Amino acid sequence: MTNRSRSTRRDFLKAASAAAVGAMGLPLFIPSSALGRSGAVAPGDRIRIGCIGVGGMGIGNMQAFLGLPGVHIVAVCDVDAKHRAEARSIVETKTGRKGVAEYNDFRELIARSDLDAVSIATPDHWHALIATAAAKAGLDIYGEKPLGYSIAEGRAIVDAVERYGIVWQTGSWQRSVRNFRYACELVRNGRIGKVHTVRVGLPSGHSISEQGGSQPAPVPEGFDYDLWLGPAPSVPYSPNRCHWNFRWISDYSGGQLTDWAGHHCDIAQWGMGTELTSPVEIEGVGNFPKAKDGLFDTAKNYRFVCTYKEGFTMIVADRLQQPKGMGVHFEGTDGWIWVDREGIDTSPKSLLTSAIGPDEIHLYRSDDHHQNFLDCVRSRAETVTPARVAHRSIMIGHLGLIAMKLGRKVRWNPETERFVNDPEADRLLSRPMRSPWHL
Amino acid sequence: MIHAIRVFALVALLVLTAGTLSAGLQLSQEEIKRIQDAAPATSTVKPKQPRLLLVFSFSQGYRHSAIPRASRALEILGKKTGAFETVESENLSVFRPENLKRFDGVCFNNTTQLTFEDPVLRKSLLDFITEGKGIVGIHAATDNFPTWPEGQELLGGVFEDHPWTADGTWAVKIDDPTHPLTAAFGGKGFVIKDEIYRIRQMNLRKNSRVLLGLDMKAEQNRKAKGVKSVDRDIPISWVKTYGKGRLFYCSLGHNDEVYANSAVLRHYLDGIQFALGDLQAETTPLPFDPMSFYDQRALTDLLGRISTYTHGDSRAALSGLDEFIRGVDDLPEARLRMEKQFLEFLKGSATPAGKQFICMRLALVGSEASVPQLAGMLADTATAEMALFALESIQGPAADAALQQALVVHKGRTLIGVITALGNRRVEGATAALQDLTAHPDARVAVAAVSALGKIGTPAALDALERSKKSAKGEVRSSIAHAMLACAGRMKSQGEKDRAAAVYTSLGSPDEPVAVRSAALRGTILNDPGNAAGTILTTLRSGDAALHPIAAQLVGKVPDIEGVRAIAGALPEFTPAAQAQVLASFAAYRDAGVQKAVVAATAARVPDVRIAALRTAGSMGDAGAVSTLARAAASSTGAEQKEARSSLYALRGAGVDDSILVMLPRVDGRTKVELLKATAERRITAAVPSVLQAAGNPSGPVRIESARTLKSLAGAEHLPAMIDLLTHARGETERREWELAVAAAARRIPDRARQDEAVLAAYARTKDKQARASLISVLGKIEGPASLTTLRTALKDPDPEIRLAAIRALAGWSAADPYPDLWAVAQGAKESGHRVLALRGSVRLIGLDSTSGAEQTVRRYKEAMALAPNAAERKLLLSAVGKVPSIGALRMAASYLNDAELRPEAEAAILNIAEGIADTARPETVRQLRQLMASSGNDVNVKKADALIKNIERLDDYITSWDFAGPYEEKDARLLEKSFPPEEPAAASVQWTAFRGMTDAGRPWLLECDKAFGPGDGVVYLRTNVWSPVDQKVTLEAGSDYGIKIWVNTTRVHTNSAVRNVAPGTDRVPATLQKGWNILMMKLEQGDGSWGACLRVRTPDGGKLEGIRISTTQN
Repeated sequence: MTNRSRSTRRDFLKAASAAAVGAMGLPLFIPSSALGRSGAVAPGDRIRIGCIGVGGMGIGNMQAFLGLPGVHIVAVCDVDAKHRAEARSIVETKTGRKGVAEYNDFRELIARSDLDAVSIATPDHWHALIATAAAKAGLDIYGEKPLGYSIAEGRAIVDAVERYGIVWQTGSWQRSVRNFRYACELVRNGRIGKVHTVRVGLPSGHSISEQGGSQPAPVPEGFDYDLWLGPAPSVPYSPNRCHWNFRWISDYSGGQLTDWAGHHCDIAQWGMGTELTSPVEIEGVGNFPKAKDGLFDTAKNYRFVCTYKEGFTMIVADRLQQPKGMGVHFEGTDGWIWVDREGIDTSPKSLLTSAIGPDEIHLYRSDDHHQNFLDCVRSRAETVTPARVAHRSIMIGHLGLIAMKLGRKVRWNPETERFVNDPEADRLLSRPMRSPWHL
Repeated sequence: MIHAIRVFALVALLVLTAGTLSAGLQLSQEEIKRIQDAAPATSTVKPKQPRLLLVFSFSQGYRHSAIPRASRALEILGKKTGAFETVESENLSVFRPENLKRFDGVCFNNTTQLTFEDPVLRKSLLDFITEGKGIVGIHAATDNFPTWPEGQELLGGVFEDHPWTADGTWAVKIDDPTHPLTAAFGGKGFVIKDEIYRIRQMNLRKNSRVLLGLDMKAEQNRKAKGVKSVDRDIPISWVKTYGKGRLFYCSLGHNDEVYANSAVLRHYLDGIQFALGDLQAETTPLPFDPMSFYDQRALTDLLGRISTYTHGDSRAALSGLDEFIRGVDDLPEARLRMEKQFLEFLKGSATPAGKQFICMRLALVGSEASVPQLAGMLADTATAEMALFALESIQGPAADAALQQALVVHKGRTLIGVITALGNRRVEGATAALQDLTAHPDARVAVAAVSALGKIGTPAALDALERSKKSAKGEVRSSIAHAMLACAGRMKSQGEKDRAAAVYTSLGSPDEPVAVRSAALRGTILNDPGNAAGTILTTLRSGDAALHPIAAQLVGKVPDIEGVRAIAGALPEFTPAAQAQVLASFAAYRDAGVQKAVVAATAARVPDVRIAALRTAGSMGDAGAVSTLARAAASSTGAEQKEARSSLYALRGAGVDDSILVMLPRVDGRTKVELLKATAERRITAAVPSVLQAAGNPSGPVRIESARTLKSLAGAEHLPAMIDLLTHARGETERREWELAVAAAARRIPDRARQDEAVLAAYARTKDKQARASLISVLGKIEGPASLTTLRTALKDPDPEIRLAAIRALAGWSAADPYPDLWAVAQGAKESGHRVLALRGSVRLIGLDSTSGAEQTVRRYKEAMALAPNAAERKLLLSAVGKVPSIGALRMAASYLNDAELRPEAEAAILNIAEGIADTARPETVRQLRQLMASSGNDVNVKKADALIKNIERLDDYITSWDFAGPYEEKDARLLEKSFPPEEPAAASVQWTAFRGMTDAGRPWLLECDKAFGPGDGVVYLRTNVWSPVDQKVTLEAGSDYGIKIWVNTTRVHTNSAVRNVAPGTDRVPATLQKGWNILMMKLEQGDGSWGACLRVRTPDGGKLEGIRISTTQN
């Protein structure tokens, strides 16, 4: 196993929040009252955040915000009472301030009149419902990737973010890491000539954490399972269904592919400058497990080829089917650049020390993903990973998944966000929501 | 062949070129004999007349290695049977009509990418066949004529790819078993190792008779990598008539062995004789029925299994059905038949979970035919939810109508679901009914109806919403505002701007929540770009602070620059918060007028505004901003200074560097310092002379900054001047900076051997003591080849300060080389301070020495310990000892447990070492840890020691004796799934070798595959034997980094396609051991990075298993 796997997102968050203290000043401050969110003045002139979904990544994001100046975590929300109690205790211990509110239902948290922003880190099938509700309340949002459970739900988030003019940051934090930005700047500035192929290597298989079995079981005390299911089909509770493992189950997620497309496909799009468009042809093969355990059914091995009308090909696959394994590998006429959490490598090697001059293309510079969100909450500027960009990044994963589910090539219109004369494929753009949930 | 060439050379000189491929072919006599033996003795029919076949072997694309072998085989076929003679050519002009007319047929022998762009050649080839001659294509012949569709169609289609690769063995079916050309195969399907093409068919099934094809029902063919579910018809061999002529094509023939396959050679011969017009054969097309792939029995079987499915069961039948759907869902007839069966299934007595699954699939494949039955399911709340998933997704007016009817029937959740489905489907006909529902007493129903109207988004829907709004309250009312915003957005995008504007105006009312008003204001501004600037100005000047953020944000969307300038001009009138936000939005514009306002704002009273202005100046500014930013950086601190600096560094435009260069000599003090920093950040190498000049500035900070700048920019040519500056440096800080700068410039010399030359020369000629000490320090940083000698000499310099500098330089050396020198100083120096520094350096260098063994290292530490003058030094030493994973180090650390002063360091070292050496000296390690626990007063350390002991004890039973086979590597294969020789029945022939990859002292249980085999993708098999005294059930406790499979006595007991860090016992696998020897085998998949595994055998409840033995040799 490698460092790349070991350096988990949570490690990153710890490092990022530790680095942020001191390094980042408080460049621009405008209090909640001036933003006109609610008319309430935040004590100490801080950005007041509510955290929705405080298991795994949610706790990580919350702690990252706690480590930054100018933030108040005023409320936490989770359908698991254990999660929210733990989150609350972390906040209260860290800040020495009591009175963090706990919610089971996100709607009650959003209804508070004193919030500036929310952090959302729920399973994918909840992203669109919570994000659009928060946008309607005028709250700025730090939202985890993948943007939406489906392409249509991602579009709903983008529309809401734009309609209400809120600030959105996606949890695609690799954009705030120097190596990734640098690799993309090298590509954008033509250091490897014309890029003809981008290979994106993502994890393969399932990283399953045993939580107590796949068989139906009584719902644990303090866990609002019906609310956890939300818009997904009614099925009995099993421990392995919820929390971390939701991502291997197609009712809630697209598997490793969509879990990671928001990272490495996002970087590939950034490097290629195709952040606001999509491939036009997608074809590939996925190996959907014959899930003996009765739960996990997302693709374990997958490989698909995306053709861009901009004249290059993006090959997305699990790392075992990529020559360079994990990471993003840009291949151009004059060399190549590979970048991953482990590092960056180039051919020719001299690119590693090639400076990007002041008059060359400089990409959006963010050195701390959470701080970038806070800065933009204050300045109202766009973040380094706005919703419209995240939508296109995760779209690649969704499109690949659809092509693999159909077992054939699909043609895509990036403008209309529909397939070309392919009503069967169009059906996979969204999944109906279980009543009473609706966008 | 030689004979044929000579004959032909007499008639058409044009044909032959020196490049004739056969000249380069050295088929052995043996190979020729194999072809000769395999070739039929006689032809099926006697030629009607002597036949001459042109074998064309030229490729403009990939050149197939089979070409010469194919030429030879064709020559032999013709000669041995007397059916034809061959002439080979690689010259395209052979296709000119005057040359071609001499032949009875042309064979495209594995040619690729022939362009045939000369119209004469195209016409000649078509005339040739149309007028009655023959064309033959072998293997790559379908990979030609990229710009000539007519030529592609002549061959039958064009090459796409070959999922069935040359190393595989594939099943071939006979499409026409009674055809004379398939008599070669006895009319029966066969398997063959060859590369099979997938072509894009071009009317092939309409004008050709397909004789052979891949058997796409055969599992091995379907499983090839890259096979698609629509791959059903993969023709291999076919014939057709074309005008008066004939074509025969066969895609076999990539691999050498194919040309010694007597059946294939017979097929070629018969095909050629057909093309030449000697062998009569049917060419009418045979239809291909894709529905033959629709396996009714398989579907019935799957549905039978799904009918008893409940949650928690294996999903195998469910994924089997998905696979089935993927296989046929491009066939309309299949979809209809499948759907019919799904509907029957839903009528039956299947489990709710089974029905739910089928409904979810109907959402993907169902048609209007499903609508009545699904609509019926709405009546029962138990089935309504699953039916709605399907109904919402099925296209067409039937579902629209059914949902509209359902509106008036259902209640509660079902009603909400129906409303939502109508909204998502944008059923305009439901508008009136939905408007009624906005007044429903159940607010959830009303809100759903509002939201559905918002999605329908037509003018009528908007009207309905506006009507509803008058009487609505609470949650419903606020949802109406949001739905109206959605409608207005749609109107705007469809050009109905006035209607949209009216909505935005009405929602701008102060009664609405801020979020709605903000969205409405945004709508107003974007809806009417001509007035955008005016609207923004008005808002920002108003006291309505709640709307300032959205107005400020939209400054970047103002289309006219005059408007932006107007906003810029009014900047000081806004609240500070709004000013800051507007300044952020200005970043989108590069305009002198706007820039002026930004520059002015850098002097604003409120810091936040200044900071925002400085930031924007960096992204929009040009050379004109240099002075402002440099002075701002010089006169500020903290966040403001940081912003000014990064903006100065980021300024774009040709003149920026020049401006800095011009300004640099003209300013002084802090501004000069800032410009020097910018010079370094922007890498303005042209500024070096100015910087060197600044280095003589009377101001200390300027001189120091000059040194720092030169550290980034200076090259070898500047060394003399910099050394001079170093030797004249004033004060300690400045001197340190110059030392760093000189070392950095020296290290920039590409030739490592010359890096220290200039400094050594300066050292040799310098008399000043302080300067000499500095130069020594520089030499320690360069570490050039001659530096070490000079520093060794300096250790003996009469001057103590020079000696001290040399000790420091050597103590920081990056390798252990100077250890003996420092050690000598540590033992013998007069000055105690020198001895201490040398001792510390020695200790550091001991740790760097990778060549000496642990024993020697510990001995050196003991020697050093004897010299350590005080507890502080001894503490440092103990922590160094703690990094040596050896039993000697452990004992050394343990010997200080009784020294009260050193005890904490000793304990830390023991714990550290114990972690590293657990396997080599387990009993003693445990003893030492126990001793620590018994005597320590530190709870944390006691706990750690206890955990370590437990850890060591936990390692019991992990199997360390293994043989391995592999690694097996295969590019792009799913290695865990793929079967390699050790798991094949014929595993006896596998070569097994003793496994030696247990080097991680800290994790003795760890089988380190990467140490044994190196990194990279692959799989390896590990095998050993376990002797059990009785038949018994056991648990195998295993761990791996990536995928793992385990077999006991050739039965697979475990598969886990994992991605994780290896840890003991993450996988607990029940297994049964027979009495006596059992074979235990693991398959381990590798991804990236480290690659390890572990395994032990325990009782079913995890306890110690008595009486088992492990051996790779069963003895």
